[in-house]
Amino acid sequence: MTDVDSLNIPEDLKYTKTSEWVKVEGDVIVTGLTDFSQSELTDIVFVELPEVGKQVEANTEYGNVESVKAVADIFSPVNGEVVEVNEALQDTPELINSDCYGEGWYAKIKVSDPAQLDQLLASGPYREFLKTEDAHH
Amino acid sequence: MKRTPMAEDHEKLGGKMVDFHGWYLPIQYEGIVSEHINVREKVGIFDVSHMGNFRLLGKGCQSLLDRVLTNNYTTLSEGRLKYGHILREDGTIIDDMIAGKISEDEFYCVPNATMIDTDYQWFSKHSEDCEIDNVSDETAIIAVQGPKAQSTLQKVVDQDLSSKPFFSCLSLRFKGIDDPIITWRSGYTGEDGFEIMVPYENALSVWRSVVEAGDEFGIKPIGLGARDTLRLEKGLLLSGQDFGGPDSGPRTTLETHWSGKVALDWDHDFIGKEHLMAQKEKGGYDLFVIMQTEQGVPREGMEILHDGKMVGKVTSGTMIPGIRKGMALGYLPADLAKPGTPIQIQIRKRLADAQVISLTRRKRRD
Repeated sequence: MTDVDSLNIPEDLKYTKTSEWVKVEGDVIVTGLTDFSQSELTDIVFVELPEVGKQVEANTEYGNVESVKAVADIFSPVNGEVVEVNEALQDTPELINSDCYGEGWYAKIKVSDPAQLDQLLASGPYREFLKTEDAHH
Repeated sequence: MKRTPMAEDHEKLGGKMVDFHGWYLPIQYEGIVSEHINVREKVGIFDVSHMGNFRLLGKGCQSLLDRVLTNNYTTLSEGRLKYGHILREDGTIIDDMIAGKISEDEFYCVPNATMIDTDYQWFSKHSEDCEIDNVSDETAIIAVQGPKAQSTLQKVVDQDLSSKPFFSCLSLRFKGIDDPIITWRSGYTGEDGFEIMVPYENALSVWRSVVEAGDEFGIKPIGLGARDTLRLEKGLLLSGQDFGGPDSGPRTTLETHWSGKVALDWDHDFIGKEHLMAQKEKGGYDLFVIMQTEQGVPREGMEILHDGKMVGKVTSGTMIPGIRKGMALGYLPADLAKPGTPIQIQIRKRLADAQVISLTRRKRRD
């Protein structure tokens, strides 16, 4: 079991309950998997990216990552349109393990309903959420 | 959950412990990818104490093994191992195992963890003048695998290992332990290696001395996750999954043989033989294949397609560390079970291109 207190959960980002992080840059968000996700999944060996232009909905699966043993869906934090994906993950999926908040980012989404950003968790509440049963689905 | 004598050491080494068929064992330590590569390039040590241990004693053990296994143990030399399948009357595989010949009237077998009771009952039912001693609950199995396995083990045992070929059944004295310990030159990784069948009271001492001896060769503890990717890459079958499993169904010895090159020169009678002969005669059965994808990770249960038609199911699949290719095991109709046959695997919503590949044989590195 992952030790939640030792996880890196940056204060300047926002989080979903499905363990994606969100960085707001104007009307676009950058999103990826959190330190909790990558450590639970262990070695990530394959990433399926959405197509640029894809319309996505909040809390709906729009891609996935696979570790040696398991596959995990990635959920969009907001409604919007995928405007860029991290092509580097095709050849180096392990970037998610080594730098999940930096080079291991997953996609950029143009937000269509900015009010949804208020639903996201801040760093502290997200860490508290991870300590509850619900986080370990 | 049953604990092996090494349980505390696994925790100290950072093992991610799981319930593996009722055993408290590590699925991984630092990560499946690096552990897999470490075994291919250097050496790794595994706790596989969930596996079973039978000691067979008596004049009847040779004929028992001949009867319940597809291979001939009468012709096996002392100090050697042989792999075989235990078959039902209808030729389908109950379990696979290796048996080692210690002497004319003493053998040692390692059944699969989940099949210990089944195999024991089957053996008992067919045995005459043979005592079957199930020592599974008092015997640990420590595997040392990789090109540096011999160099590692040599430092802690009394015999010269360089003269012992693969599939040797040895009785070795380990440093600081009086009783000799049954040690096989065998493994489940496709690499050179050893499997040490050590009574619980000496297991931790053997584990620690091997870890220490392997330090200069870069030894690492390896979890069950990498054990699975290592065996899958080399096309080694997993009992209860690649035969007798939910996606494989019951399979016969003929079907599990790569490319249909089965020598039908069985020179002894065994349970299920008649059905195998009849199946061979009749033909038209599926064959076991290894497949590789260009993109995506195949998993057990996924459908295999050829020309848009479903032709089989994946029985084991994963992404192979190191080569970074998806690999799958399964069965295909004989005309498709040839290296180079293009197929597709339905990976969730996506059809992934794949092909049947030929087996990479184990390379000896002495």
